[in-house]
Amino acid sequence: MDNGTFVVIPAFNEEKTISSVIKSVKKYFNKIIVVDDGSTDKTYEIAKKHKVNVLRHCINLGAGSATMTGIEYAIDKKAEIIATIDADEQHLARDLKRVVDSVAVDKADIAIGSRLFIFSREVPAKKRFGNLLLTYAINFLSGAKITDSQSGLRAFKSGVFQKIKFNSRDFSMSSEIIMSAHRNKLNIREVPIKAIYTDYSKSKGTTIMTGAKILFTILYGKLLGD
Amino acid sequence: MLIIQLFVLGFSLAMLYKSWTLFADKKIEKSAFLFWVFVWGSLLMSSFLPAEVWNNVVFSVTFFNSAVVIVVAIILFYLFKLSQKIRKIERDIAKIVRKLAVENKK
Repeated sequence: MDNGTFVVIPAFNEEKTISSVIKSVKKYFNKIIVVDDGSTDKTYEIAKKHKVNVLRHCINLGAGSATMTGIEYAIDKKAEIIATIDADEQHLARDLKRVVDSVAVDKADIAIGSRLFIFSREVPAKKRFGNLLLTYAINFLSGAKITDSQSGLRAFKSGVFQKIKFNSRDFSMSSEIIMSAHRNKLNIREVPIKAIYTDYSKSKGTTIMTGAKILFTILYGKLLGD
Repeated sequence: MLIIQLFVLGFSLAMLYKSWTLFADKKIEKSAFLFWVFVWGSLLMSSFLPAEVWNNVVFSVTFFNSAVVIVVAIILFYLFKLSQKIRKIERDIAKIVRKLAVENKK
């Protein structure tokens, strides 16, 4: 067990999956922070039963805000490495361990689990196309060379948050992190991971509308120097 | 009085009333209230212009185009200011909610 690593799980209405996600992460990490982002189901109550740190937003703010709340809490608890994982069972805990190792062992500043969309036949075509479009846009605007800009499986050295700035409250946070990290010349590594697409996880995450919103937010931020 | 004048009269009166109720309920600031009184008041006054003026001036292409451009510009400017304000409020709310989440955990 790595005691300096905190795993942040932002969750919004994930009562069906939160329990198994916590259990699988517990096999590798013992410091887990679940941020319930104003869920209207039993997500909070279920997470509490697992005796992990559970923070609760009294209203739904979005994945970006929930992640930031968890990160700030982890920093406050003197975390050395902070990792994030989605609560919809899309990721495997062993992939999270590999992503964390990329920071802990290989000394990357940030490691991102890449679902390698171009090659993956498991990813629904709609999601693959949307993600590729966003990834190209982000690479074009920032100069980064990323293959999966929307991955929720990430690990950071806690010190990078003195340099990285992100204000997005929704899924655009992923793009903002990459752009900000690249601007600050941080060492970003990608780790190939497997994504599990169940009917449930397909219904979650970035939709076409969210994708369009992310694109708009990135362009707006770029134009205004946000 | 032309039908369009009656429509403008009714619409501007309704909007003036709406602005007043929003201000009375403290849902908009004084400056915003005065801005809307100016906008809807101007529209109201224009409805009292004689029918000949409406036919000859208001509907004349040049004047109408200019007026539309000015009104659209004002509305866009106000929307822009409004969106900035909304963004700030959203950021402040997010800060408070996140702070509460951490404090409740301690």
